Amino acid sequence: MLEETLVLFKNIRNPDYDKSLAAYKKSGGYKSLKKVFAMKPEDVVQEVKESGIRGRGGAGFPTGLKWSFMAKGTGKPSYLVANADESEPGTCKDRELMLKDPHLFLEGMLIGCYAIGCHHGYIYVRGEFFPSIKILNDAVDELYVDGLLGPDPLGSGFNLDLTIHTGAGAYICGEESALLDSLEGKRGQPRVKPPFPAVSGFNGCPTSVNNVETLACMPFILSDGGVDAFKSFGPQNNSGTHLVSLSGHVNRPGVYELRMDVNMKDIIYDIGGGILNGKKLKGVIPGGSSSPVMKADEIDVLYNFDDLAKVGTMMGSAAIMVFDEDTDIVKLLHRITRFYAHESCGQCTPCREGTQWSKQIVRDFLSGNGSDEKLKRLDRVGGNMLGTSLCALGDAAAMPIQSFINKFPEDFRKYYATA
Amino acid sequence: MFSKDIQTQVDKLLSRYPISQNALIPILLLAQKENEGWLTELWMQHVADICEVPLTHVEGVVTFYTMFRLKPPGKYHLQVCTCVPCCLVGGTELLEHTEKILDIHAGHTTDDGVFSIEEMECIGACSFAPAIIVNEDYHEQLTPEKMEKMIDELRQ
Repeated sequence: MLEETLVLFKNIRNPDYDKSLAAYKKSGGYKSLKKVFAMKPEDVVQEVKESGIRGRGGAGFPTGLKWSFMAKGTGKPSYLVANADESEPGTCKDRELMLKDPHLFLEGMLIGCYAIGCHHGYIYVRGEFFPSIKILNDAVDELYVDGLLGPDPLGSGFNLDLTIHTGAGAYICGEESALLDSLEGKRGQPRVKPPFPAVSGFNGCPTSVNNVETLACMPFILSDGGVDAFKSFGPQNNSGTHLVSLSGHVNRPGVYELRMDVNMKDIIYDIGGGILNGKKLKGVIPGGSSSPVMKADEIDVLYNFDDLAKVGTMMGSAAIMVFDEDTDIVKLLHRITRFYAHESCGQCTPCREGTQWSKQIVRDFLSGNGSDEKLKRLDRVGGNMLGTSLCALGDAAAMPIQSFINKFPEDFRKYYATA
Repeated sequence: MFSKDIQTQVDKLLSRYPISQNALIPILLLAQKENEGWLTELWMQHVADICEVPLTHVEGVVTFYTMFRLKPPGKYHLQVCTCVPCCLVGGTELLEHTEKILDIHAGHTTDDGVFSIEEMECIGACSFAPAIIVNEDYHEQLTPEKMEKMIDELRQ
């Protein structure tokens, strides 16, 4: 029977834990920060590199490498910006961390600031997360009172400030360069890259944007023996535990902390308690709504970055959406296409037009006007969005469309017009 | 234009960024809160002056983000999520039921100004679906019955 491995959720799973600074310190909190303050920043980055941690926001880029790209000697300030704009459909893990153990994330944020030489970090939280914003603000206030933020925390001589910044509702602001434009007080539209944020980010200064969960791993990685322990939780190149958001037709939906060498089938049947109402599984969207869909007979695979990539899909933000045998695939795809049509920022033509057209074609099917020709057209509209826009939203919209057609063609035929 | 308490928050925000334009979105949210949930041109001009940007820039920002509103919401703004995980477990039916009991469509406000409904894209409560936000509070694992009870309680 598969069980959770508790690193990030160690406190959260303790019923007596009250998420205050005192409780976090009692559980060993802010010890890693103390250790880090005695290290050279470049050695901190080196340890993060050695841990093999890959970003938990969706792209899986190695965090240590990202930090090592930060431009040095520019005469400009460096910034660390936490991406708490969690909005990929299916994903609700960062919210759990912020609501239930804010100091774990904040300690990681402080460690990150020190590692890249940032004296004022920003946490970009999606605006709808009112409860998380309040809890984070309270936790930051606690840190100022305690002296862990402000001038000279723990006698380190490293002045450090943190500000919670609220977004105002836009999925695209999860994309790091759009997030930075939004943080600057503009419409959140992705930038042309290069230059990458590590060279020109917030207000044109070197910036690293990191996901909440990624930062929350730092206190463990930088603890004594943390690097080796972290690596032991998964296969090579997929190290650490990670938070999996399980939703849809399962008996026990929830956010679970798992190693990266566990089977997706066991996540759904052991952790999730199987399919609701004793129904059969039809398929799974394995890594947020952008990831290519999988059929029921394809889920016997290790749930990590590389093993999912090998079978033609992706782990993304580790959000598993499960759907049963009665699910109408065309209706499900319609809901997904509506999402991307609503969230495209409108900057690049293939994505702006493609997301609207794909929504309309799927709606055409739902009105009973489908045909072979329209199915081919839908697939082509998807193909035209792949790799043709400034950011990955176009790809994210295309992958579900093409995979739904490829995996469930018979479901679309049910909506063909009868001659 | 801001009340004393909110003006303190605005001043604090301005002190946290290298340039005042950076604080635009959080200050606009405060302005919207001051004006009962929506923005007028007067408020946008006021925030434009504070953040030292042209009004057209503020309008561009306001029309980009879904949380900014240019017409008044109801006293209770019901934001019903129907995105993928919510729609798998009854979010769409929850929205339809809410529209039926309040006799308005999403995007509208009841005649007495008490309720408004908005259909939401993912609100990030996927493992606790179906979920809605009422003003600033999340309500999760809802059913049409629970929704009806909540609306009755809010009405009183």
